[in-house]
Amino acid sequence: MSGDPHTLAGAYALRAVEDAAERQAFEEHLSRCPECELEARGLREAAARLGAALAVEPPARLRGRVMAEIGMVRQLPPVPAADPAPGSGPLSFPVQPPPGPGPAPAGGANPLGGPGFPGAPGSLDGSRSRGGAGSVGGPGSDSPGAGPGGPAPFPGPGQGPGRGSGRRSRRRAASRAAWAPRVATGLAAAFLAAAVGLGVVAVRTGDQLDRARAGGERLAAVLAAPDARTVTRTADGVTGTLVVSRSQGRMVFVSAGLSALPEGRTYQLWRIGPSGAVPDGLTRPGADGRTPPVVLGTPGDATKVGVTVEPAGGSRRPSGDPLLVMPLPPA
Amino acid sequence: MRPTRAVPLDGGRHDRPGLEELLRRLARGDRAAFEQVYDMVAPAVYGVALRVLRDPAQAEEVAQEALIEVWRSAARFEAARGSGMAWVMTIAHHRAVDRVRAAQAAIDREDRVARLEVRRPYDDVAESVETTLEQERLRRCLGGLTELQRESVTYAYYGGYTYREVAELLKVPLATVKTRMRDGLIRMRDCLGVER
Repeated sequence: MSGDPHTLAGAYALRAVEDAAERQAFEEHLSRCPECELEARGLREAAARLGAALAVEPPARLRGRVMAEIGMVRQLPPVPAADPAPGSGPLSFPVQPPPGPGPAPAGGANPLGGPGFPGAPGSLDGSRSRGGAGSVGGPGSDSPGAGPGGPAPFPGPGQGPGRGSGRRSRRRAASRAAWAPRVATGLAAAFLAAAVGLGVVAVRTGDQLDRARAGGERLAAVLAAPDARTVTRTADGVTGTLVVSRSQGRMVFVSAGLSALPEGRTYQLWRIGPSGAVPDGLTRPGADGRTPPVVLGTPGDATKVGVTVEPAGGSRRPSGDPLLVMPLPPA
Repeated sequence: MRPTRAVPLDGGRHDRPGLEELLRRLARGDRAAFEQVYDMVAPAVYGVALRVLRDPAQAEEVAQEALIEVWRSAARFEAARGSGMAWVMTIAHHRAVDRVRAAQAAIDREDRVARLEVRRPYDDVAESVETTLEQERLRRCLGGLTELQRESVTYAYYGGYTYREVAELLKVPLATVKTRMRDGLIRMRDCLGVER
């Protein structure tokens, strides 16, 4: 880049610098020049207005797709506090390589931006390698199944890596209660992803294993349904996540934080509606407190899903108050 | 949280938690907050994708990707560095532009320039801006730029062209285009009343 790099401020804010090296050079320039950074911010705000003014209501189905997909996307952690604050990449916005190639802009290049400000496309794209935009929520109900094998962001299928990260998360959760719901949600999402990837989950009891196997396809169909909606509720350290697809006539339940039960007892799920509680799936948590995804029956007129402790084999009526009740999203 | 401007980017939802606050909640995995964020930003995200890509199906895909990215990287949003809307729109715009470039990379250069001439981003904007105050203001502000500033800014932002391509298109030196993009955008910033 020749001359005053600062003349690039406009092009940069407009995403009109095509060459990554030039863009990077400009970002370095910004990191050394506070006024330039300030100007760049203002220009970015102005550029955003160019776009925001042209808002158009998206097709209604987009909402369902997005909501369904976030259940399978693990969120990035905040940028580590250790990052040198002012310097490295004030505005370094999504330095995103054109679709396809290369990794995200060199790792730590920029605290704000780098991996994180929108960026880190590498891993997102990774997680989307299951077929790009259309796949989740797209018609192919088996598409998610194709996915999670590849996606790096999730703990691998099966129990190995998943468990490791689960432990880590749990420790963090313990040390910092405020994070609990979030960690739990992350676990649930990771678990769902792993389960969908395999179509089978390593579980303790035989009935669950059968259920999970049989449920594999239905599970994928629910998660991929355009109308899938997700609800997460936490009570007494138990977090349940419910994915509901009325078009599929199914729901999927996963949870974290349920304590182990003595022999002869099981957790049972109930669909609760105007006509009372209808018995549904049974589940038991693994050693890590998580339950595998359970595919439940049709939402019908149910307004809630509840979890109780029952004798092994389940009951026809709930024998006690639910530990957790989750409202269904409105139809 | 800073109050937004008279014509806020969030569509006037002053009475609700602002986008910045919602993004903070998102970062903690709050899905309910994400539903609100979706309501606030999805039209703008889809709108910019549609403007750049000019194809509803692709725009929808890109909007989906961008919104997922908002969820995924919410923890990286820092309110001190800019508004939530600018952050979201940057994600959306980059994705849309990158998609257009990837598609065009396949097209031979001459053909590409021929296409450039067909696309007149500003005309579109001028035609379609009748509905909202924000659009009216945008049109007025764009109208206040010199022709070269306006073309430089709109070809880049709405057309997804690089400054080199814009220079080629408008047959002006690179340095001129860079300068016009910058001073044009500065003028837009001041006219739109952008903070900071």
